[in-house]
Amino acid sequence: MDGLIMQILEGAFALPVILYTTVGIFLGITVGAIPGLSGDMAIALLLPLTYKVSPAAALGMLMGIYKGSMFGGSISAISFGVPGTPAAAATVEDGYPAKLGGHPKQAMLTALYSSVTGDLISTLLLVFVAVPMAKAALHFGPVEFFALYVFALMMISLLVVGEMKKGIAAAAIGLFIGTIGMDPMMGSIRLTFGISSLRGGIPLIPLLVGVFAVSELMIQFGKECSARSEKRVAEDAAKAAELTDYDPTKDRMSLKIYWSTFKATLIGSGMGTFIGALPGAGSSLAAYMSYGLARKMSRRPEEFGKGTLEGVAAPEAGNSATAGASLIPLFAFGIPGSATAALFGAALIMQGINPGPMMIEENKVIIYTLFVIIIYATFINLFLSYGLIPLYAKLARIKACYLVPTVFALALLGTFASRNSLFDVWVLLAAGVLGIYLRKNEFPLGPLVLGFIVGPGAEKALRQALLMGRGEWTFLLKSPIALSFYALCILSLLLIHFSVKKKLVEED
Amino acid sequence: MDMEKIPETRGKTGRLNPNKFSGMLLMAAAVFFYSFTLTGKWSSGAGIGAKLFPQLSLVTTFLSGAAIFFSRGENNREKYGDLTPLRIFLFMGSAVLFVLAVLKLGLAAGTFLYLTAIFSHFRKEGGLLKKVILPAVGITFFIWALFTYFAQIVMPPALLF
Repeated sequence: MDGLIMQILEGAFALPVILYTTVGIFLGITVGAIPGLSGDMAIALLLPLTYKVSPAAALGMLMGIYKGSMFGGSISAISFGVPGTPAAAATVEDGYPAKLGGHPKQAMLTALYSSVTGDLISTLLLVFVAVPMAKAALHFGPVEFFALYVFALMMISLLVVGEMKKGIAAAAIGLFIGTIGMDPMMGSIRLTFGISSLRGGIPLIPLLVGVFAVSELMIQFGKECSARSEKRVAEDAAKAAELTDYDPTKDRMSLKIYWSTFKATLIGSGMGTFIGALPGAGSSLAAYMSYGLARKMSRRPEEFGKGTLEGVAAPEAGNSATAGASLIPLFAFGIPGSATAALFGAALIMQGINPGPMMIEENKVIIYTLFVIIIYATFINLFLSYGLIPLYAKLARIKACYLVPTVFALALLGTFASRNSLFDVWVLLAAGVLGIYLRKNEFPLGPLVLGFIVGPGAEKALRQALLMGRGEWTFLLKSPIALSFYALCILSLLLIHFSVKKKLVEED
Repeated sequence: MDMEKIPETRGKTGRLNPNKFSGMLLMAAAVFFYSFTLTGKWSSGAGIGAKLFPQLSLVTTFLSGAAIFFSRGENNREKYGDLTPLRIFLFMGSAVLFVLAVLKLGLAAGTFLYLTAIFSHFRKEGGLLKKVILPAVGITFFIWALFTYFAQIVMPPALLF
């Protein structure tokens, strides 16, 4: 036992691991602070570059990016009223008015402290919940696993921001793309269209980078072509300059101020952890729900939207609390809970670690090392962000005309270099076009990627279950655990259907 | 019949409603790919079991496409109005040329040429050296160092470096 602990600590506190984690956090805050770039995009871009790095360092860096980007998004949200990431959109509601009201430092530090608190709570939950859940999942057979996959896919499609049917369609497209190539049971070739490179299936990294990063870069490119982004940044800078009567003595942060927002932070942390642990519900939803709940439970709800620090603390704690919690389904069942967790799952696979109930048992040292890294990364995030806030606030003004080609070049080179394959570049570009079409038509991208990643596992579970049941579909309903997952699916579907219907009636 | 409940096929501009188009596209794609699972073309040796999951996902795609087609919602395409097909083509074309340049000329040379071309395209005013050449050199060096030293990735041999 002592030997194991020593191994874990040595792995977690090795200098390269600390350095890579710190670099990851730095990059995360940087991309978070720049509107148009996101943590998902940075993780997708850096995935191919982590092939040759040790698992602890690679995973620490990617986790650092995720954590850093959560807070980073709030910097431009508070400074310019432009959310750096979609998850920081709710922070604008009170963060920007707080800044205009003469409290930029208080707003920024409230965002940082609540973000770190939410992240820490969620991380501790991950550490203490994932292991027992994975142990329970060891008793699952193909029938239970298939039901769990159905539940995860259902939640992924239902909880997206926007239309539910588009979420389901995106997940179905992802599932279909995942079936191209060899089938997971017999190894027979499917839907390759005579292209020999497709026999191994659609490669994961080009698909992820294309769907997430290239489509976003194309949007930025389109904006730059219209020369709107420059105008918008200038407008934002002009608005920021309106703060002329700023008095630093009235903008000091104190423990008392932090304490006054603590209730909102706890509400956000709880909501973010809960939402984050649900497959499919992302950090944006967590931030908005935390903001709404904190307003409802506040003693001064009328101050929300006018620059109250509670309105900054709740969404920031909420979006950061999804970081650790979204990894719970991945670590316990091998099912990624969010697009970011899916990228993290891809990184684990690249490092030779297969996500699933056996993952923790088979890779005890590396997984516990990762838990330690995730915890201390929270504190590195705190200190790094605290020191560099003034510098980061200027990053949002970097012109897109320099940013877009640079990031695009990195995406192309990284994808090509990961396997020295031109085919991967064509997949990346095709995935980019698919991503842009889906974005333009308001289809969520998360379900597509998750469908692609969980598809092979779901197919294997289904076919194993059908083999065990000798082709009888009713065999899928013979397990009480599976039945309870299907019941949860129906219940969630009904709940969401009626809540949407109620909303539409109210709007009419 | 309540006329308000009939979904509009065309938007205010007279163009096909994007939701209708997406729904139709999904249904057509689902039928197209489903036909290959029936004929066995491009799916050599795939038995009933191997066809099952692709067929299930395609049926789901078709049904969700139908639901989108008949939905009353109309999405806001103007959100990404800046992104015209020509711009997408330009963006993708530049990517293809960039990759070919890297393969033929080398990582640093290809990256520099690509960045110089894009920065020149966006340059509205100011000197060529300050706004184009220097940023391109700086970013090229960053990318070259990142790939060569940080990630230690070996690129295929090319004409230059």
